[in-house]
Amino acid sequence: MNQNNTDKYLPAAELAAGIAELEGLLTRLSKGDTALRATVNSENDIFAGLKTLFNQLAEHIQETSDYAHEMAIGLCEHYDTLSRIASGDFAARATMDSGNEVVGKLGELINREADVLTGAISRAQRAEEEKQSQLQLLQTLIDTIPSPVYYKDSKGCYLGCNKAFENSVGLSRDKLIGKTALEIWPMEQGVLFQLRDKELFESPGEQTYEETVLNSDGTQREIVFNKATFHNEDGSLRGLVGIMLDITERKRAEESLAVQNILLFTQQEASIDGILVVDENAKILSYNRRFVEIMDIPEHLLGTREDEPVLKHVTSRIVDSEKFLQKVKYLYEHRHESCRDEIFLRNGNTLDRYTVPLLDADGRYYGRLWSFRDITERKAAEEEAKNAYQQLQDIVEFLPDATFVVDKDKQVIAWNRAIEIMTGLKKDEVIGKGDYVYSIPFYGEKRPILIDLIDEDLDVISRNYNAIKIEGKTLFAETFVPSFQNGGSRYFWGTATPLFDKQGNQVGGIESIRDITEYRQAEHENIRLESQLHHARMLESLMIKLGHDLRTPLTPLTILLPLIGKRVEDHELKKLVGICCKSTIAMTKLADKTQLLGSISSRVNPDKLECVNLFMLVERTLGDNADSMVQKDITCRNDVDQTIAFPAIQDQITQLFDNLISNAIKYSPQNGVIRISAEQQDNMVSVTVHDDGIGLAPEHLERIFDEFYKVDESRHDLEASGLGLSICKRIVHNHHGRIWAESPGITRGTTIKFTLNELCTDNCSVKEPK
Amino acid sequence: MEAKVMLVDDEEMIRESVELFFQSKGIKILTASCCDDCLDHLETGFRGVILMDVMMPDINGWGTIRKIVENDLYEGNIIVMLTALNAPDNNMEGLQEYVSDYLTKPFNPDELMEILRYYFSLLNGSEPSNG
Repeated sequence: MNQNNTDKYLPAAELAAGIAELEGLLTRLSKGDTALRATVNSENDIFAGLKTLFNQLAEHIQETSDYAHEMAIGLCEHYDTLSRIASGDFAARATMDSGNEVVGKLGELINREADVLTGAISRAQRAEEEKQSQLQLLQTLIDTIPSPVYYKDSKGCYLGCNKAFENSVGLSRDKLIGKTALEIWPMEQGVLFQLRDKELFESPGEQTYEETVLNSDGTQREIVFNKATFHNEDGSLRGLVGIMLDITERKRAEESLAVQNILLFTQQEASIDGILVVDENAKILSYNRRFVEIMDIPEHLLGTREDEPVLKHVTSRIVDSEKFLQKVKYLYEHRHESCRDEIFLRNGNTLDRYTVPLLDADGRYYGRLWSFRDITERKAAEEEAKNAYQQLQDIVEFLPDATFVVDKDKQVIAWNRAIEIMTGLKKDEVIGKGDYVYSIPFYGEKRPILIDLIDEDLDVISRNYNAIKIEGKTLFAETFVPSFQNGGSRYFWGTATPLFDKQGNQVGGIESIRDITEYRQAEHENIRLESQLHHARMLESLMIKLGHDLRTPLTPLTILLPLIGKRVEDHELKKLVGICCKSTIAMTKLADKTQLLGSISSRVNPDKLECVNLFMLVERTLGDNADSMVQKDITCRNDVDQTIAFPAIQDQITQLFDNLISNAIKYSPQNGVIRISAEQQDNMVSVTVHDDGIGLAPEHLERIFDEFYKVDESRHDLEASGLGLSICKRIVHNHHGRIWAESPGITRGTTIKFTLNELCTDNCSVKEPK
Repeated sequence: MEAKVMLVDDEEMIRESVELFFQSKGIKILTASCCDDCLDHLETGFRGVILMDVMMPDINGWGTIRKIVENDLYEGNIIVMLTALNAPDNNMEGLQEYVSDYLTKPFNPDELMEILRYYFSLLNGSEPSNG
């Protein structure tokens, strides 16, 4: 029993010492880990907690240990006494038997000692219970550590571990204790651990290494092993304690971070912008190669990572360095502001500077990012474009024709002097405006004009424009404005063309407008004069021909009448022949006169204008030709609109239709059909006379209107003067129109088309129709 | 008696009236209505004064002269043109040398006789027969 007490004393003291040492080791480990993994807070926290726990435990155990030690010393003393008593127990018993006083005293002593011993034993029992409780506490404590913890003896056999270690290995503590690493870890792993343990035991102290460990759940984990030896009081090696820190997640995070860093770095380097990042303490956090290039920064300036010398260098390269510095200073003082502006370098380059603060989600300021883009070329191009635009403006400005330019939104971007003069509208009133503002001076309203019709179909354009010509994308057309600027009517000739950029995108359009009223008037006058001249020539030709034709029948009369006169004996008859001779002479003179008249060109007399109802006129003409139509059984359709009535020279129009209808009858087949139609548009009448007769070869289409031109070349046909269509042409010209023939070919009919314009003017009165 | 005058004219009225007139004067006359008729008469031996109408269909007076010359039938003839035109004629280009005189229609019979007498005298020194 005494031996038991002694045995119980020894482990308690040992435990106290061991725990004290363990605590020390863990503290060191904890410290060591802090140094090693300063960035991982959670692990620091674990170690800090562990350290605190161990401190508390150590104090507690120390107290227990001290008490147990004290008690053990007392026990030892009592044990000696009791040993002595035990050796004299036989005598004492004898004494007791003899009723010896000494023995009685001894007995008292023994009883007292026995009481002491009983007390001591119950104290020792309590200390043992306490110790067990402390051990349990320690186990509970280390179980709370999330990382696996284990300790081994100097032979490498497990002495104990925490729950995390059990989980990691997949074995309970009971099955672990007393086993070596080889027995619980997979072979390869176990061998390695043993080698590591051996290394540590050979040079005791601390050991840290990383290892990939196959966890009991089958996953590969990256583990940092922190190990340290612990020793007996005499300094001999007692064992080791180890903690396994799982850094798998951290490793992954580190790898991910590394990828992010590479990405950011690459992005930064790949940027065409120069980038500089400065922290809140004016230290350069980051910059890219482009920044160095743009600012031409010597390498040594950047080596220091100080912003100040770099800023100084940059400033020295800026044109307005003072203003630049002020701005930089302002931005560093106003940390949350962003800024974008242009800065000009002394070497002539222009940079687009952009700066933003580095702020986290909570708005905490970490520094500032500066970005510089070299926009020298862009600026030069802009400048060039500006100059080109100005040149265009200048050119447009001095164009003699009224000209304006619109952008792709149809807003006016140029309005030259000539158009200011033409329209009375000043640049200020038009530039920058859209919505057809340019049409107002011409039409008194906002509406599309030529420049708006560039991409339209011909049908659409021809609603408002005449003489349309399209060359490529350029549109030429003429228009008539009845009341321009509240004045008289004007003719305008416009040309509109789209404008394209280098890529071929339509960016606007330009239109030039020329007032061709005078030209048109001159042209009309010219036509009039020409037609008069033509008329004169035709009349001349007509008269000459008439003269010839009159002279032929006059010739036999001239020859034979005198002959008759000589042969006639009867006085009365002689007298009659004489009258005939005189008449023949008169007729010859008349022919001469006709020739003379023919040579005099005649003018159209405005007094001869009458309001002609075309339908009625055609009806009359058809009536005049009824006989010849009946002969050939020809049908004639008068499809002329009955409402058409216009001022014209009635006799001429009658002659015109008579010629055309008689021609149509003449060249129609038996039972042929003749169709006459007409329509009126504004001041113009368009007429078509169609027959299904012999038709015309293409080469004759134009020449048939020439004087004396006969398709059959026969001049012997007395019915065909060769003047009919020439007269028609002349009459049409007298009415400012044009005449032409169409025929699909020989035997396929002929269509004569012509236009007539009203001859009425403001100062010309029109006679009522007959 | 051989005819000494030939009238070339497409107008029958004129041919007949001139024929009547010459018959009344006892002068034999040949008439031709076109170029071919004229050439036929020349090829069968006619030589004398040719009264040539300018305006005829197909081959006109000038064209007929050109044929006469081309066929070597001009020699021994005198050509007098009958024209109703007062204006110069573009077709006469280069042929004037073959034309001795002009008569404007309608011509006076006395004037015609006067001209004929003159050219007959030039041809043979002979007077046209009064029949």
